[in-house]
Amino acid sequence: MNKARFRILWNRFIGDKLVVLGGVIALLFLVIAVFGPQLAPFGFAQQFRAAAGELLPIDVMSTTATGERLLLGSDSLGRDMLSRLIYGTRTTLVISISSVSMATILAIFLGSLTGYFQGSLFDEIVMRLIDALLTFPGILLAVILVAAWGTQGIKIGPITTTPELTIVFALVFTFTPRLTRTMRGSTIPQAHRAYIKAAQLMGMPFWRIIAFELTPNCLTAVIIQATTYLGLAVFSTAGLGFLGLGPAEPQPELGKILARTQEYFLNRQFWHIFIPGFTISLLVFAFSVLGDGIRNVLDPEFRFEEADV
Amino acid sequence: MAALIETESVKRYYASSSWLQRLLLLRANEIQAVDGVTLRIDEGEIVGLVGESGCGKTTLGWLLAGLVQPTEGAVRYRGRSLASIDTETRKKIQLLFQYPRESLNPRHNVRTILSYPIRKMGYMAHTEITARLHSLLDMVGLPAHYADRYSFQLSGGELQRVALARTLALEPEFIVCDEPTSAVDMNVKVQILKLLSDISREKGISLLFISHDLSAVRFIADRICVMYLGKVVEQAPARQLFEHPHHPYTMALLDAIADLDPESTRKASLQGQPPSPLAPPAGCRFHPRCAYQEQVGSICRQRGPHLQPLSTDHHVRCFLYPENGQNIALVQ
Repeated sequence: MNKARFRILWNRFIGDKLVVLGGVIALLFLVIAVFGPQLAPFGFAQQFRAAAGELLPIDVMSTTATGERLLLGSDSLGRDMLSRLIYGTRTTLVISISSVSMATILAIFLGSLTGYFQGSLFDEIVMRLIDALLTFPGILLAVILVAAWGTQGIKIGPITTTPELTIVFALVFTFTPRLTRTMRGSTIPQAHRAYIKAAQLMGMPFWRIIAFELTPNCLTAVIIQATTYLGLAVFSTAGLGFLGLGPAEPQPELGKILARTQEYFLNRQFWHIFIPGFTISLLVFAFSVLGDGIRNVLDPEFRFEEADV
Repeated sequence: MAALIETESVKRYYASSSWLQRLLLLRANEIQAVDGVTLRIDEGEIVGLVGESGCGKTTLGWLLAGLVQPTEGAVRYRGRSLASIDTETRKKIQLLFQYPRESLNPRHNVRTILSYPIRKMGYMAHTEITARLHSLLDMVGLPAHYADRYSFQLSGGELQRVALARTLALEPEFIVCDEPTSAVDMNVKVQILKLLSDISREKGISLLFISHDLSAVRFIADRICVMYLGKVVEQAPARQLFEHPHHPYTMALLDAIADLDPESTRKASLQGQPPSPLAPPAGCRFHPRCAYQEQVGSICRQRGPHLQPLSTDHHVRCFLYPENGQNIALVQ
């Protein structure tokens, strides 16, 4: 990409104030996730006792029995809410970003191959498998897979994966089919163009045609879809955690933290639920808006404002 | 002279109905794009292929380049079937596409586009590649600094030159030129034609020049084939074809040029559109539009004529010339 083109795209990106806001929030969350251990005041598993005469959970801005001041209070096990939110954001972001990027890479690989070899046996097999996966509505497939694999990590031969990886794999299975279809769809018209035929005539091997000639011209649609999937991935990760399918205790995760606040929903500290709830909403908002912004930059013909009219 | 590439009653049909239609209607709808063409191109020869849109000339070009496989018949390159040829030899057959902008990857600059075929010819040091690149650009009449340009920075004529440089990088022996001048304007067209003709003569490269533009073909070709609905109707050396056309379709095509000339007294004889290749007319495929049909009689509607020699290098497919090359219409 040359400089002038980049400048045009960058101006288009920062021209939309909402997108810039989403970008700033997303960046803030990323900083929190990366520097989590340095930012968190306490460990995520460290338990505190309530001050004399008080009950768990410790209230916002209250002191513990040992005199520490907890900014956002604690959960029902006496663990610092702020530290758990910071570590939880880290977990959620790692799971969602890695699942979307793994799914995108897999989709680019599968989509370009099936698109180039459209109609072949390989194409038929892959696309029918994808059709089978697409029969499950979105998050249900992830729920089924995590429930089947368990939240303790998957055993592959001698290696047992981390619990987070189980969720990542489940989400990859959920996202890949749709992304692959998009990639295949944008590959097929390109694969029939004359420059591909010219490359074939030059005796270029098929993997080189796909990697260097074809794929770079077909990426826009799948990148747009992948960025809009980031918000969905955060939502799905938190959703799985909320349903008890998140990483095992004591690992914090935003959805799990939210689920735990249910316990005192009808008690005196019902508003505790808003702390993780608001964090998840903000994260999903930031990623969705950012995804829309990237869509508008890469695909200027599609604009939400115009599409809504 | 030895034939470089030849086809032997080569056929290419395209199924135009889906498998479901075929299953339900038990009917195979086929487009007979190329229906039994025998063509021979000698070393260093430039053959023109003329015909209306949809007559199968591009398909024939793609068959010769090996981009599509024949349904029936064979394409032979130096006596070996194109289907079983090794990749090294296959590279000696190249194709110049109709739309040069389509045939060059928009992501790559000229250097990247040309480097691949140059490297394909064997190991070379970096400086050697650059030298070869510049000599190729020079060969097609482009300055060396064009190496860093992208396709969107080039005009139609320049793009076609880059595309030609890419085919020349592989040192081909045969290039199919699929209407390379149809997408450029008049003065560029003449330049490209001159370039093609010069390079062909200089390097002894055979060309199949496909076009619907008779003046371009007349300029460049040694020998001309006229195609109508998948069949070759007339084949003759260029000068002879233009001066003494024998097939009614060729005459009509030449009349169409003459029509633009106000001095001309000949009247247009080609009416209507070519019939659908899905359902070609019975008998001679040209008979519904033929001006001589009445004179020849019902045989035109009953069976198709064969391509027969009038002289050693002039062949025609018409009942006007039953045996000895005498025009029966003129005899009557």
